[in-house]
Amino acid sequence: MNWLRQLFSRRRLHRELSEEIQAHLDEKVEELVAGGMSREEARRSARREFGNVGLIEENCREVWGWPSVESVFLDIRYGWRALSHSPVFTAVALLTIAIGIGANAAVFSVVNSVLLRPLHYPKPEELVALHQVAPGAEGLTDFENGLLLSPSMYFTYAEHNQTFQSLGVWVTGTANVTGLAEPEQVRTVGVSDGVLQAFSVPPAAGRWLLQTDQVPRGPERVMLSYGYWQRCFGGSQTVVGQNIMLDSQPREIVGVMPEGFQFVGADFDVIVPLAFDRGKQILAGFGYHGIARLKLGTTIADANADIARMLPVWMDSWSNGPGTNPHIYETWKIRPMIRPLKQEVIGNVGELLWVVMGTIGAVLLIACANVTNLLLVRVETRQQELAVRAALGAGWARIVRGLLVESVMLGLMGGVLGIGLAYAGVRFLVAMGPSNLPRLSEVSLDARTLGFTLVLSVLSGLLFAVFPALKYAGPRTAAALRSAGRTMSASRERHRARNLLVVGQVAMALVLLVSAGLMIRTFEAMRNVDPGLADPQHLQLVRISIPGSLVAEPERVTRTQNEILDKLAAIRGVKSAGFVSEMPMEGFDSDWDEIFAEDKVYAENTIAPLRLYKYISPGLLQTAGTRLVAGREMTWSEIYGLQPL
Amino acid sequence: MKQPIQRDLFPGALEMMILRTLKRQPMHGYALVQQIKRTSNDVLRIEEGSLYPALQRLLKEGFVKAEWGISATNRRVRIYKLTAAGGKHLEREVSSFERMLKGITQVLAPGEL
Repeated sequence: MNWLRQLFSRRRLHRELSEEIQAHLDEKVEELVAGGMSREEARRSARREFGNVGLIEENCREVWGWPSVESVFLDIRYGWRALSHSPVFTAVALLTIAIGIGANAAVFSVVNSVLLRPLHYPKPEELVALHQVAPGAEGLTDFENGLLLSPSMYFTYAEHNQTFQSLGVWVTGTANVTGLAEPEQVRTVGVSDGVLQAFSVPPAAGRWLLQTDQVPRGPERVMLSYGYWQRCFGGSQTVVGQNIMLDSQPREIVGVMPEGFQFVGADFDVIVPLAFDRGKQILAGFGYHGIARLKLGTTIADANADIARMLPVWMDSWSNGPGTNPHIYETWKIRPMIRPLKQEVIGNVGELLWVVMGTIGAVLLIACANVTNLLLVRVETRQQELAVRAALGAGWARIVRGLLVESVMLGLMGGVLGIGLAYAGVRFLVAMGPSNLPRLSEVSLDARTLGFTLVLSVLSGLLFAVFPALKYAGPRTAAALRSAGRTMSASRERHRARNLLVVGQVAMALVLLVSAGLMIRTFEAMRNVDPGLADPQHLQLVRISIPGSLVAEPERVTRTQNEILDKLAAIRGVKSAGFVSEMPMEGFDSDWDEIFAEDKVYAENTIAPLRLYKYISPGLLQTAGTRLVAGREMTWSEIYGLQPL
Repeated sequence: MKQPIQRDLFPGALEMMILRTLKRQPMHGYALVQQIKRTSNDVLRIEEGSLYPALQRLLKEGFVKAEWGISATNRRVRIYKLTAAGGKHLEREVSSFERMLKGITQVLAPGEL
């Protein structure tokens, strides 16, 4: 803090110095006068012997000065004046920088929020996704998401593991809520015991779903998300203990998760217990996402080894029914590939975001080059001023510093404007809500983004000062004084820097152009993919599920569906209607099973290739306008007749 | 251009002389200059002003301290005084200067060339 005190006592220091030096001079004069000199002559002589008073005072002050703070202040004042003298240049430069830096700040805030910041769970580094692969399984092409867990796997892992604090499985789904304002389909997450414990996020109200809530056919209990609680219950504290009709069954609300809690990147309204019936589980049923919290000090490699050890235990403990070989899954070569939960959340957006970041970085470089060019032109017109300053004794370093301060000021002001732009941009992005960007709700400008922007501003400020500083602050005063007159045209070397900049700019712009072109090509190609439906503008989607608790018998379900479709088709303006379990490109978890071909003989102890399939109703293909390669649609009578088609 | 022979001889020389002079008795700036001039028989005609930055440096290092007082000619002046640290610094400087001087004298000594 010493320098701070010095900064404050500066004024006093200066005053005292002047006083002391004045006293010195007075004393000298008096002595000389006493020696017989005239007062006028004595004063001149005293001054001569003392030396340059101003310089000496400055030298004295410099002893105390915080290294050249004062002269930097001067530079800032000077730079400010110079900038405000040419408002058009300043405005153009600021706008360019603001756009460049603003775009970078915006993209960085996304990169930071999505990729760099840890997940919003306690000790997020311990959380892992239980990812598995089965390279030996035939048929299913979709191994990107790996092999999900079956309930029996969950039981095995939960009971035999040595590396996890807690472990559970979850799956997303939908359910119908009735009895509130109007019937609504809500997004559910089914969780086994251990999932909420793994997240360790305390509820905002009430309690978690516990092991006692996981009893099959036991009392049905649910938890709400914060958003659903606010939306449907107005955030009422008395909601805990109330009942909610979920799929026509009353369920007791035991708790509410806090604001901002996301289920591995998925939004949800209601958490329901999976309540697996242990006695009815078989080996198969690979439909659940696994999540776990590692024990303190265990690594992912340890956990992988632990799971690999438990896979044979799993095959020994369960079966797919009498007469089946449980070790048949050995042919699938199931292997654990546990991933940090963050990676699971982010998915493959990471690469894309870094590409965008790089692209935007190139844009900033182009903006910098533009501003440098402007600065070069400006410095050229100011060359005479600089030369005069140099001639008056301003050091090379001092002039360079002046230029640097000026352009760093430009950079910083541009940065401030850029932050404003970035803020608007991020708000716009969140409002737009691209569905495939995970952690979107977390995107915001935080301290790290601001720091990044600050560094970026200073760096770009320095960057566009380098050229002018190198070129014009050099010790060529006389030449500069002369050539800045009207008698000489721009010299060749003056053009070299600008040429260099233009070449750089064009090169970068070309790179951007090519990559933008490639992106557009990709986009075009994606647009041209045949989605399997015709005239999508005239298709409307409605989601319906008939809960088993309401209509139990399969045949009645079918009849109800048939009636619903008939009623839908009878609405004015509706041409036709159909049911499908999943529309093309919806990205739900598809149904899949072993498909045996009649003309093929399958070796024992193998599993037939797995294929994806969909459930559809009669009329769907006609409604969606799907092209049939051959044949016809099924009819309702064929379905009622249970004909194997 | 000033004649270099009359300037401060080497960096630190002026400080050394100031400290040495102040060791005898505290005094203010003007008296200090006169004293140094007198004792050096006017061989070292230092620029009077250059004393002050040197004094500021010594103040900053804590080798001297200053107090406002009244001079013999009844002026309000800043009187400089040697501190303990200044005394030690002086000893170190003097001994290193003497070593240097000895070296130079040996080189300059006639006969061996």
